[in-house]
Amino acid sequence: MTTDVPRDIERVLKTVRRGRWWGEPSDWAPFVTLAAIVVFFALTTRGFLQPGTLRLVLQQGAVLAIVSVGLTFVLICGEIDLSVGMVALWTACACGVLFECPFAAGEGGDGPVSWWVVAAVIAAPLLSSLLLGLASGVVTVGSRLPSFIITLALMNIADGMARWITNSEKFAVPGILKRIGNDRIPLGGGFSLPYSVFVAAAVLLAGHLTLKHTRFGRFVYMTGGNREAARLAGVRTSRIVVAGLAICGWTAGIGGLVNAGRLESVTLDQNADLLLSAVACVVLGGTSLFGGEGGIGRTLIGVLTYSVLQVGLNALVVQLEWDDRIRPFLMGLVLLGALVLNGILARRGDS
Amino acid sequence: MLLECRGISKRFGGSAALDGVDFELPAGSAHGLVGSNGAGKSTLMRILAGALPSFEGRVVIDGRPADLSSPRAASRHGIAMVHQELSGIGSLSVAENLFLGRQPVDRFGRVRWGLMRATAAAYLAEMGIDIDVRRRLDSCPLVLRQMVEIARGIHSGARILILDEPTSALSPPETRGLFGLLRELRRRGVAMVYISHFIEDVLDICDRVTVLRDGRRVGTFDAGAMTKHSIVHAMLGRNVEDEEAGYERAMELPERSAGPTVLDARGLTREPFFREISLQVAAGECVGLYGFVGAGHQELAHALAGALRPRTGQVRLEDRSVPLGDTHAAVRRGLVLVAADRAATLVRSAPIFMNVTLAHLRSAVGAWITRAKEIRAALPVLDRVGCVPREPTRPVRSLSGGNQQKVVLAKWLLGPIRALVMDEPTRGMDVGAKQEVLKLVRELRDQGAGVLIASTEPELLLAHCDRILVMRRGTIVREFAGESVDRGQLLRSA
Repeated sequence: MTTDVPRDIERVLKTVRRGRWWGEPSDWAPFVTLAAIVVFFALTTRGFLQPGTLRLVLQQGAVLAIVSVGLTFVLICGEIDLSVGMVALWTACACGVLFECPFAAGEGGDGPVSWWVVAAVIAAPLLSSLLLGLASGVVTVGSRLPSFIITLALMNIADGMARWITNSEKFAVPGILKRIGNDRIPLGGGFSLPYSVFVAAAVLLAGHLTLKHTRFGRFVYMTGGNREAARLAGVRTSRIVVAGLAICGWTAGIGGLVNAGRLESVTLDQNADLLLSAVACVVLGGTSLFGGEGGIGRTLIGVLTYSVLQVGLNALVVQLEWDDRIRPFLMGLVLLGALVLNGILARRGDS
Repeated sequence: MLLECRGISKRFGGSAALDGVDFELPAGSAHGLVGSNGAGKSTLMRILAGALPSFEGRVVIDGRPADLSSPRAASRHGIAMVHQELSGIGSLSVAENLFLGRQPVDRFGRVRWGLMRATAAAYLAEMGIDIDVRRRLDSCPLVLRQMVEIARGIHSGARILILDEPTSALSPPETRGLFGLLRELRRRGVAMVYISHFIEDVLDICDRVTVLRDGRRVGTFDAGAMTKHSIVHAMLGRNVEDEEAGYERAMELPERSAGPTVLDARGLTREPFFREISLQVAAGECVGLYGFVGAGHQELAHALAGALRPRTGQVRLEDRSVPLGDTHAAVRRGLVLVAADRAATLVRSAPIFMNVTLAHLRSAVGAWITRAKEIRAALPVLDRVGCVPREPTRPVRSLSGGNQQKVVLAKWLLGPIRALVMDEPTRGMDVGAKQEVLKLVRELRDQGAGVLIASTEPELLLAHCDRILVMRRGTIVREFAGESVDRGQLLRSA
């Protein structure tokens, strides 16, 4: 009898695997939305289906993807981080200010610098972004207030800090960041992608593996799914929330640096709409705002959807010779439609 | 005939939850509905309550076809349902919950708070409950929440009252109070459908009993002509040896076991639930903690396992102190809790296997988690607790209450269990699942774990415990050990 048991388990595993690859219909809702949007632009916009468009989409989506990874952790935890945009801004500003210090490249950022100074100039702001996230986590857990409020306060703090250290001036960033933001790796056939896309891919992959294959990742899901149940099972849910917000601060920092590199300098007007775009991306992918459900794969779909929308609308507005100022309005309208469509498809899949 | 159902069928996916069931209810009657978990009781009642609009068959009320397309439509026909799961709103007061959606208002539309509170207090007083109705519902113990639920159903002005497992959280005096009230309602012409696993209760309050099995009606019987045994027989289609049959006679509690003390609590206090509690549980011993609802024994169970932090006191497990209110430390050391409220102990949207591996991921699965590894780890324990169906990827919320509790047990079985603390572990479970769970608990005890069961059911404790402590208003008032005790003695001492 005992010898039968392992074979029996393999049989169950086989059934599980067979039912696996297409999943639930609700898993497909974000794909359908993305496909619908691509088809729409392919039909309406001349020259949309070209490698160049794909490159533009990926390049624009890179920063968004990096920031969305951390936000996905936080949303799955059942929390939210409103400070990502300003933490990204602060990190980039800190990097720029440090880089223009006399001990580094000096004013204008043109002086000679050794590689380890550059490393320190990049690492220190990144560490500060991690600490900012950690701080909002500790305060959220300690005060038992919603992270919504705590990170709203942190958003203002980070914004204020960025204004204070930059004195509203423009700063240069290290050359390596510029290269990450703009230099391309050729992939053959005349197609090339910027380094930032590969950085984003690495962050996405790391996030995915952490969420799906580590204990911490599982605890993130369970903490968001039912915090009391996770606590009763011995999960230290406070630590999970703190770690989630710390990760989110850190990825926001990375995103801020990559964005500054892409724009080749730091100014206070960067990253203003990063927060809302990132939240929209994560939610477009189908990650629940109430925690427990979602994933990096979904976030990737969300980021692609968002960036296809952006790129496509730009092209469409130019082609139709509309006033450029109508873009935010259209973007909002289409985003609303996409979110509603997603919601309907997901619910239909559930019933 | 007030209510007539003809040929009611309902399919979920491919399987029939109900298959051509007939059912009728004259005014002023009480009709019991019994069956194992999954027999279709809840499906039938949800259809009547308008929660499942798409079904086959015909429902006639007062001789006219009834529209049961929504809960609102059902309530227009005078159907009210008291759910097994608590559906009150935790952040509102007890009084507001009692009058949810029908607060008394004056002619300007302002809520008449004074009247509402006074009426709410009067309703609860009828059931023998005396609390401040301004308290938030979620600050009340489970039993009170259930009483509020029942009171809301009773006073909704319904002609047909559906009660789904109303007494599962109630202690005997409260059950008696409720039954008195139900009889009064019947005299006023209210008909009721009473669903319960407590067959004595069904036979006590109902005049007819319908037995369902696998979505079909086995038969409808006069309650007077049936016994608990014959009903169970009809439910299961086989004779079960009823372990709790002997409780009316005195039970002989065995001499105290000589095993070393596993769980040792001293001076635990958490106002207003319990104060200065000291108790010991030995290895291989099952200790019962009996009390009426609100006696504090349920909160004490939670506190022992770290789920609730006592203000003062000490808990020691195998001679080492366990930090108070720290479930992480407790679980690591093998001090685990099986609570009554499955909604608080399971992540219901997550698959079964993830719930099973949650507490012992590292030891059972390792540092790198894959689905296959997890299922391999989870299946043996799921089989050991007898969880059906064997589809570990199904979400826990799709399981019946009994199977959900088995998942909780399976979760703990993956790691060490030195002391097992249970709070109403078999609440709302059918006879078969109950026996399976308790058999497993006995096995764990025989393997040397210390077991503590807090319950308001004397039968459960008398049938399964080696020693029984009785709690009243937050203190232990009596201990039964190595002597003979019956249900009456237990009830009288609490």
